[in-house]
Amino acid sequence: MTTAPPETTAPSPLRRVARSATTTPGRLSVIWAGLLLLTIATGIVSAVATQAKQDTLDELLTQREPLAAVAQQIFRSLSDADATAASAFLSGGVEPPELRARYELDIATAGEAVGAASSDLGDDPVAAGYVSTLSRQLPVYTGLVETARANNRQGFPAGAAYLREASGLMRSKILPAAEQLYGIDHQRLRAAQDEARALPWGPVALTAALLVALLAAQVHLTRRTNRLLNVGLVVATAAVVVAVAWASVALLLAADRVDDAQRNGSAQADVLVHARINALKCRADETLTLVARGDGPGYEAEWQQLAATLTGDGRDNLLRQAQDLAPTDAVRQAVDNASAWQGAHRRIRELDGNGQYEEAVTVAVGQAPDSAATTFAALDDNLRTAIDAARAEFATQTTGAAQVTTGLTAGVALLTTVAAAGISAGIRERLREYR
Amino acid sequence: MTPTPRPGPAHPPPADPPASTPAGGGARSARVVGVNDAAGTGGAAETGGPVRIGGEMEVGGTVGVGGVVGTDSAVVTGGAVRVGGAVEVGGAPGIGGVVGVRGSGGAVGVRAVGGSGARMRRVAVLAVAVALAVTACGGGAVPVDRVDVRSVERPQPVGVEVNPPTSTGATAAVPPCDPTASLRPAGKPTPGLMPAGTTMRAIQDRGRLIAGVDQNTFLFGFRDPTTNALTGFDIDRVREIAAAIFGDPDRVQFKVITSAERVDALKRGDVDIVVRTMTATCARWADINFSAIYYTAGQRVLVEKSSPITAVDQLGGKRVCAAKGSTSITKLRDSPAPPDLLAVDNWSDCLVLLQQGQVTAISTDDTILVGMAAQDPNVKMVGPRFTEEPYGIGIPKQSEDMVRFVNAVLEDSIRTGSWTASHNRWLDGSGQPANPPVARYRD
Repeated sequence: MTTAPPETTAPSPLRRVARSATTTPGRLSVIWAGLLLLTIATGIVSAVATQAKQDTLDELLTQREPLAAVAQQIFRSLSDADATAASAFLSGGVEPPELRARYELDIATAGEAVGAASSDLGDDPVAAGYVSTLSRQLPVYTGLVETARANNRQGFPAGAAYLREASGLMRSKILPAAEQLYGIDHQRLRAAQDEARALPWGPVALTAALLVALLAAQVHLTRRTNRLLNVGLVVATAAVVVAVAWASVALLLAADRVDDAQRNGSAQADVLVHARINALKCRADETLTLVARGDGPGYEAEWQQLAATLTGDGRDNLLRQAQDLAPTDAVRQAVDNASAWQGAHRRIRELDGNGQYEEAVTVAVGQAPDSAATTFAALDDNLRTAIDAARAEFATQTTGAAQVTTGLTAGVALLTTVAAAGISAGIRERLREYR
Repeated sequence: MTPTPRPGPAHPPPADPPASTPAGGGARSARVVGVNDAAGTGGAAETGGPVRIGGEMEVGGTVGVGGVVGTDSAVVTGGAVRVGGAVEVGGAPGIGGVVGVRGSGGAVGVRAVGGSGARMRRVAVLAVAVALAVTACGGGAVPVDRVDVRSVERPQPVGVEVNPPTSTGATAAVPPCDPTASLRPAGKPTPGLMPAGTTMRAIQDRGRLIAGVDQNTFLFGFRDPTTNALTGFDIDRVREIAAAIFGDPDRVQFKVITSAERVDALKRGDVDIVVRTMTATCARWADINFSAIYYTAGQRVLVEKSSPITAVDQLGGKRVCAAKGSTSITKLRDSPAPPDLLAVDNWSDCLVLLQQGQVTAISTDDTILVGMAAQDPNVKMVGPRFTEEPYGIGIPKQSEDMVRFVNAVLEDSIRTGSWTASHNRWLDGSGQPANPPVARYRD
């Protein structure tokens, strides 16, 4: 069309492309470049997206769930320490060795778990604040408990005052921080699960565009060249279709397993964790009511409120919620033991209300099969078993999700390379006809 | 990595040298330095620096592969990349950064060709300036503190209040009276055979006496941590009354109440009697009845052994602990030198606060303070008694028959010597003689 201008200045690359697109070989080159660019972009974005998916699944298994479990351990072991210290005090004299051992294990677990929790706070200043509260106040708490113990052994009532102060610190500062930290970690776990399940929109849109472009290019070539099929482009299209099919199946299967991992695993564990902690709080309330000898009406009121989450008829019965999510033997036994414990508690309140304090204490801390101590221990054991089972289910399903996406990134990369090669070969074949 | 440049004909030079990742700077710089060294352009002392920066090579570990792309070009590009590296490094080992830049600049100068070399030199000079600036700033470097704790939150007893408002009851005008005068006893029925229609009969029919007591005040009413049983001088009084009603001192239900709850517990009828170091006052007489006085205490001050404080008038502005709803806290508030008051639920909480150094002193009845001194040899009582606290047994206003009955029991107790035995058991160390108070009656 236009003659080349005399050698003045070199034309800008953009103008060069625009000018060459008016010729058939030029147009072919532009189609080639466009398809190749789109293929490479799709390949890179898809590979990155599938890799991110696999990373998220890996993070769920190695970071999010273990950290939620760590926060749960902090919360549980500290609640248990509070309940155990009260029981030990109620037992009178030197505390029974098994209660002392249990308290020591709780404190050691909590200390270790706070250290583990502080290792992965991200940049969350709120979570960091809770961990700071825990690390600062836990040593203070144990100091108070030991001072109480030293005074108790000398027969001084100051020991009871130190224990009240310790329990007050635990309930007003430490346990709320532990509860909030657990809430944050569980929320992060849920967010990662949502991320693992979400459809990767970027790659989906690019792949759709690529398929449309490939088909359009083939229609164009068929019209222009009177050849029905361009082998290179057909191969490229097939490669993209295979990649789409593979990725869709793998990601849908993975999303399904992540869903299972949430419903039967992490969500179930969360409900059970709350049930277990409420049971521990109830136990502490039960013993502290007796320790206070009527001077703690707040404890019994809290017991009534929390017991509704274990044995009540309403929707906030956590054990019933757990049963709805995944009915297991451990959960069924927990329901039975919770109602047995409630019976024992009613007996304690009756005895104490009738002035039979010593008998009430015996029912509370004695070892009879229907005592509050025995039934509570059985309930706690059921809940521990059920939580462990839910965590195992989470690990199994999430590992399964990671397995179905194995090789997907490499596969996507390989298939897009095949597609790119097919495009290049297909277009070059046509270009050669113009030389 | 070898410090000498390897001939790399197999590798084409990178198309766009400045676009290489700056993270590779460290990795490549080591090679550039080697070149410098071999060429003798850079001083040995200067190259020493960059070699140490070579530690940065770990950062550029993956980019080390990039270095292989073109050894020849590494000399040229290395300069540019090196600049990136130097700027990054600049923050920490500033000196090494500067030396490195200088060395690479030299390398560029020797080998670079054309305008690109000149441009790179400009970049290198700029980088030297940046690195020098960074180094200059680093002169007054401050160590980074990951932990900076400057204050602690001290634990406090549950329910502690600082300078609580005065209780509402204190505002009503109280008619003058003799708070120590109770109702005269009217005989003592045989235990287990209380006359019909009396309060005692109702208690007997119930099967137990309900007594409001304390479990935290050493020597008067406290829970013995080794036996779990409530004991003390006040508890002995309760058991005497139970024995008089039932013939059995153990037919008692103890209800632990705080100082502030005493009057209300009686008004509501939650308890039959309150025996809890309770001072008979005219204000309280308006709401409840008191038995004859069974003990007379007086308010004093308890401090650390090393404290210079010797009397209550030295407590002005100091932190002092007292129980809510007690006569002691009212006396302190009305003192000519009013202290900063910390009000707690139980007297033993005050001992905790004193032991933790959160209060300077505790001020209440010497009987209670004696119990604290018995738990801690590092505290002492100072000053004289500045009040008189006659203890009576609190009884609901409507149960006058019960008041007369209890007074008969107290008279009995004093006459038979069981009061003295109880005093000797608990209050021998109080410094007060075992003289039972003389009962006074208003009829």
